[in-house]
Parts: sequence; C-alpha cells; structure tokens
Amino acid sequence: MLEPLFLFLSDFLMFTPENYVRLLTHYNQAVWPLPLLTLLLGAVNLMLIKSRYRHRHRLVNLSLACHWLWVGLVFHCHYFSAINWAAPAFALLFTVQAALLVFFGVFKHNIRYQAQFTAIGYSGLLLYLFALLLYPALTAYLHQGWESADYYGVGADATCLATLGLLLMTAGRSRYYLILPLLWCLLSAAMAWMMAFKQSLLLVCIPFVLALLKAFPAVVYRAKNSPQRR
Amino acid sequence: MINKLKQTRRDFIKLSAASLAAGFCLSPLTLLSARPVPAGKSRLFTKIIPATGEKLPAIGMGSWMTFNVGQDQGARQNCRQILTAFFNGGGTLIDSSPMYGSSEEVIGYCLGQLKRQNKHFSATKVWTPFQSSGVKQIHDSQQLWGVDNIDLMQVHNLLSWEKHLETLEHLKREGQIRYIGITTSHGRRHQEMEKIMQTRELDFIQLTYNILDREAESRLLPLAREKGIAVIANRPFQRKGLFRRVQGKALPASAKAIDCHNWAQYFLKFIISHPDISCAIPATSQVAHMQENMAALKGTIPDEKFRAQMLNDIQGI
Repeated sequence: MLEPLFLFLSDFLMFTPENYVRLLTHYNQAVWPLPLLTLLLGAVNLMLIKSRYRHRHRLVNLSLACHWLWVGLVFHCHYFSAINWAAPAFALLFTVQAALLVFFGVFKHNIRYQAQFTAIGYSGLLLYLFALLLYPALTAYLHQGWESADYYGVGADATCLATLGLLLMTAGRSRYYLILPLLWCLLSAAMAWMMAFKQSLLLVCIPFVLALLKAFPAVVYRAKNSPQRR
Repeated sequence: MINKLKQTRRDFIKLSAASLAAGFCLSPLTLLSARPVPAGKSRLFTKIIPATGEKLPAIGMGSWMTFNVGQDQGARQNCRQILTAFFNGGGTLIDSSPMYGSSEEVIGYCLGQLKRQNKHFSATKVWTPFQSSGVKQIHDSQQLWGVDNIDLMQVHNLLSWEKHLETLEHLKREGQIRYIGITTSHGRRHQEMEKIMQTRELDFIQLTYNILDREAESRLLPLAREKGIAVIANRPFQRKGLFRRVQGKALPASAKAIDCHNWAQYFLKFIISHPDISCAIPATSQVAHMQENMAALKGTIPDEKFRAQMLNDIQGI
C-alpha cells in the first residue's frame, strides 16, 4: 500500500543518507559553538515565559523568528541547497514562518505565552524540552556522532519541534502559526523515512497529535464531558 | 601512476581489438538491432547503437544519489576514484540528470580532474515543464559536464516530452547532440513510452529492467528492436532490493559458468545478456563495488537457456 507513496517520494530524495549526514557534520562544524548559544537562548525563553517582564512574549517570538530565519537562510539556502534543489523552497518556508512570528508575535503582539500551563501547555513544555535536549542526543545516536546532530536554533527539525512546543504554551489557539511547522515536520519525516532514519515516525506523530489537541480543543472538551463520563 | 597508465593503455588496446573483431563479425542486419557481441575472457562485452553502429560497453554508470555530494571535497575525491575505476574497467557511458542535484557538476569536476572531458559517452536529461527553460538546461548541462557536446540527451520521465523532443530533434540536426531519447523508471508510463516510440524517431530509450522487473520484455523491448532503438536499463539492482533479497544466500553453483564471482555480476550479466538491452547503468558510491560491476563486462555471457536457469534460481530464493 505504501509503495506508490514511496515511489513518489523517491523522486525527490536525490542524496544518500551518508551524504546528508556528512553535510550536517560540515554545517555543525562551521557554525560551532552556535548550538551552545542557542541552547542557552532556549533556556532563556522558558525563564522569560515564567517572568513578569512586559516584553517577554515579544522577546520569545523574536528569538524564535531569528532561529527560523537562520535555518532558512544559512542551513537550507547555503548548505542544503548544494545537494537538494528543493532546499530554496524550504528556505522560503522557514523565512515566511520567521516573518509570521515577527509580524504577529512582535508587532501585533498576538502570540502570548501562558505562565500557568494547561494540560496542553505541559505537553508543549515537554515537547520543547525534548527538542532542546533529547532530540539532539537522539539524532546524534542515529547519525552516529554529535557533529551530525540536529540542534535547537541551528538544525531544522529541532527548531521546528521546539517552536511547536512553545506555540502549544500560548494562550490563544494559534492555529495559523502551526501550519508551516507542521508542514516541515511532514516533509522532514518523509525525507527521514526515505533515508531509513528512525526519527521519521516521531517527527510525524508527536507534533501532529499535540497540534490537533491545540487546534481543536473542542475535541478535548467533548471527550472530557461526554455523557458516559458524566 | 605508471601501473595505472599501463593498465589504461592495455584496456584501451583490448577494447579496440575487441571492437575491431566485433566490427568484422557484424553484418548489416545485426547493425539494425542492439545484438550482443560475443565477449571473451579478457574482451569487453559491447553492444551496437542501432542508429549509428557505434559500439558501446554494455555497462555504464548511473549517478542518481551517488554523485550528488555538493561541495564536500572528501566525497568528491571518492567520486573521482569511482570514475577512475569505471574507466579502468572499460566503461564509457555516464548517465545523469539536472534532477540529481549536484551530480552533473560533480561529474564535470571529476572528468576535469581526470582530463577525460571528451573521452566518454555523456548521457544526461532535460527535466523541466517548460520548453524555453529546457534549452537553457541543456546548455547548462554542457557547461557543467565541461564537454563540447552532450552525446545523448533524454527527456527525463517523459516530462513535457512533446515540446522537449522538438528541441532535441532540432539540436540533433544542428549537430549539438548526437543522440536523443526518452526515459522512465520503476515501470511507470510504459504505454505512453510505447506510443512515443511508435510515432517519433528515437535513438535511445531508458527504462527499468532487472532480473525481477521484466515488464519491458513484453512490448517495449521487442518494439525497440523493431524500431532500431538502443535501450539503457536503469535500476539494475532495484536500488538495493535485489541484494536484500539474496542477503546471506550463496551464489548458484552455475554462476561460475558465466564467470560471476558475486551477486552484482550475476544481476548485471542477466541484464546485458538480453539481446535488446544496450547498456545497464548501476550507480555506486564505493570503488570496490564499481570494480565488481565493471568485471561483469568480461567473461562468458549467458545465453537464452542460461538466462532461463538464472530466472529459475532467483525465483527460488
């Protein structure tokens, strides 16, 4: 059943897993020690969310937007495009997401984070911590080396997962800001699947379940208040 | 270095001798179809391109994924070594496409390093929905390969084939390319390919053919023979599928009779022994695998009866 999908996707995977890992290694070596700084900024985001500083929401959104812009312009446009002709399109996706975060999160002040977490907010926090700490470790294990790991703020997947985590902690439903990160999760999962990297399933399942809960809270509400439960 | 040079010269002399001998044996009738030229223990197995009678070693090199290494200097040196092993093994046809990322540029880089820009058979593709950008893409390919002319230009996966074939026919008339063709893979769009073969004048077609994917045998290969079209077989190992199938299994005892020492040679000899297949194009990123592949150009080639036995053996695994 999956064969036609595999055939379709195989047309778009034009590099070997080894070459992809080598590219990640070169990229990480070139930008080192930036991943350490972005990890620190990731921790600062959490502190800001818990603080009462007036511009905390704007600062978190600006920080996220910078990461998306960096990944789009530096990783996709400069590095990944050397082996993937679709990378400029990915760069555009990341740049648009950065623009959305700046416009709605910094100027319009529409993306606000909750200091008191709901159940979905806690899921977002877990996803955020996972993206910051465990996802780099997982990819380092799967790609056989820390130099080829996917780091928050530098690597596409970790940045995307962390953003989804943070957006789950927002007060509003934030459906529209979830679209591009979810789209990237799908694309990246497809690429990982084609390269037989085991994180592919994880890239699809976790964000989608959490995003659905966020985007359609009515489903959660109805499930909680169904007649059987009463 | 001297040894390498000697080996190249020796191979060249062998290839020339084999080609000359083959040329004497050929009647005008055999020139019309891609018939096998008998190979000996040391001679290379070549086929005839029906459109011109030009001889072509029956194993070429694909570059899907394997040559798309970008600016990675270490990986580029590996590609250069692979190409060296390919030429040392007697190969000439290199197949690529603009769809393969940096492959064309890397091939051009390696050919430049090896000073072999115009000493091979370059086969690439046009892959764009628009006719105007197709023309630019063809010229870009020439520059990327660093060659005076591309030998074979194909329409990739039949994308906008009507418009691109017009362009290719024009470029062929002008002498900018020598051969034109169309491609498909994974057994897709065979009916459309058949229609094009019947209505347009093609020199080459490229399709998926291997010991397990033999759909082309029923209509496309007989039609290619009838029309005098050379056939390039892609996915000769079903991307690694055939190796997975035989993993841990010993080669059939009969493989020795056709001078096969590993599964790669077994699979390749099955393909190139088909009278209507002109060339198989395995891709690899390992020098040792390239050497194994190219060794299939030598030694005994299975006949029809032996091919039936090979099919029987593989289906039993």
